[in-house]
Amino acid sequence: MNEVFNLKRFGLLFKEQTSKNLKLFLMGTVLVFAVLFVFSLLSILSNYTNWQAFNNRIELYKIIIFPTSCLVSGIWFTHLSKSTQGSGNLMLPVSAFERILIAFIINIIVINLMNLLIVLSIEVIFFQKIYILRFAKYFFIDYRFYNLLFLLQSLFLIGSLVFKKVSILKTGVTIFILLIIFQLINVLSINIVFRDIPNLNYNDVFFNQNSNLVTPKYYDFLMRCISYIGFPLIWVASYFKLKEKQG
Amino acid sequence: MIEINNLAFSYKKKKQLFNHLNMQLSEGRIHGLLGKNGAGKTTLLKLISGLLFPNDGNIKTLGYVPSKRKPSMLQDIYFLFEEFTLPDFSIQKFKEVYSGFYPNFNENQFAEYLSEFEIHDNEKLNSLSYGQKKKVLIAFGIATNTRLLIMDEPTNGLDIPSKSQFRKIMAGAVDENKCVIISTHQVRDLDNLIDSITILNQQDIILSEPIEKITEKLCFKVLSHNEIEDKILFSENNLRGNWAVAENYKNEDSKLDIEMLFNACFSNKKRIQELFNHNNIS
Repeated sequence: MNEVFNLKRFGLLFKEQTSKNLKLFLMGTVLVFAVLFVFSLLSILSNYTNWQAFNNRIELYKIIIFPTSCLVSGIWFTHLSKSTQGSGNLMLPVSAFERILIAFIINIIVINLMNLLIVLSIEVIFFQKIYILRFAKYFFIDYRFYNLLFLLQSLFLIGSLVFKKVSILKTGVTIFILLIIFQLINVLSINIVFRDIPNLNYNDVFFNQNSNLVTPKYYDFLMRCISYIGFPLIWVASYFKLKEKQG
Repeated sequence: MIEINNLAFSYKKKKQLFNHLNMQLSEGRIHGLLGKNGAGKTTLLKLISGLLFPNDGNIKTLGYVPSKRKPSMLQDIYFLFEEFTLPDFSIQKFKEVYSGFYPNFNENQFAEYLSEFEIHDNEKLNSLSYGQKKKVLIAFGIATNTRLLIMDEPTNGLDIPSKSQFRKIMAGAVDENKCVIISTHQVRDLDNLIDSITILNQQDIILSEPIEKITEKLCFKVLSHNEIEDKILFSENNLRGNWAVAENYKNEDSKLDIEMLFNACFSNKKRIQELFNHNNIS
């Protein structure tokens, strides 16, 4: 018997996880769809022109989709971290690799494919245009998308381990506080490091939008490495920490 | 089937739960794992099944190192937890989703045990009471036909008729290739069911012996009011007289009373260990 990966076992685990969490995924999907549907409807009825611009819509989709996919994953992780459910789950005869692959496929691929489908259906309903490639680029190729997704999901994974009760809400509040602290530190650092360059703001530095700032050539490569390897590693490390707690 | 050598385990560094623990459990038997609350029964079961990892020493379960958690080992172990959460499935769907993980799962047996417990397989799991859910899991666990069946407090939440149904089903569920470990603090529930007893105390095992060896070394009897018995390890007065556990130096036949044995182990631990030479072999 292959102890690392077996297609039959993998299929059984996939069936088990999807059947068990089907309601949760459907609720998440309906929530995202409902929010986007209402927003799109209101923006069209009220002639809100900003919403007509594709790039603005993409940003809004992200703003709504990120928290929802984190919420769905957060609930999933919280269930797993409870010993009453976690221990039973750990006793299923599957390998650690199969477990993490399922977690990855469901949380990163399935949830985002569902999100993409929602976004495309909203586009068809309200804007009668489908920019599949453009959406695919934003959702699956843009490394900043992965940055945020892996990082947020890792934080929710850690949150489900640290907070015993109301972990999703507490994690959300903690992320918000950490984000403010992080931004403050950034702004302070920018003011200290680049004090000689006038009228420099946070976006200029953080998003590399100022042509006066010369960044090293390896900057983009480094960022991509961190995004494609570093953030998934944080996710995997958090996941294994969760598995330890399940026992 | 299960070998534990020099096991050390602690949840916190300063508070050792097990230290130099040795134990062997063989197949073809139902082993009762007894101990006071907090003695470490559940922890020991989790160590055996690979849910927890030892700090020191080694464990072999079904020939595997449980901490490696190989699927081939896990498919031969079914663990019935004391506390559990079940998915929002019907019993039929539960069987459909989970039975595939266990190659020796027997659908007919599952149906038979459910009917013994008077549960219909079209019922929704979440509409059942805690006791009924437990009966579904017991039926499923036995029907998996795994070589190792671990049950943590299986009779908690079962009503009186269900406890005897449980004993009846369990008695017919073991063959020479299977090993069942039942952990409980409700010792009366295991009467006439278990073949060997392991009594766990903080950090060590007081006794781990087959029933026949226990009744060979110890005698369980009622002493009349005038009768004086030396070598008594534990006694308790009740309406029928003075119940006692004594050393069986006269080779008398007696029926094991698990509760009396349990009390004797805690009130006269050292003598019990001397009597059985604490080799801990079942």
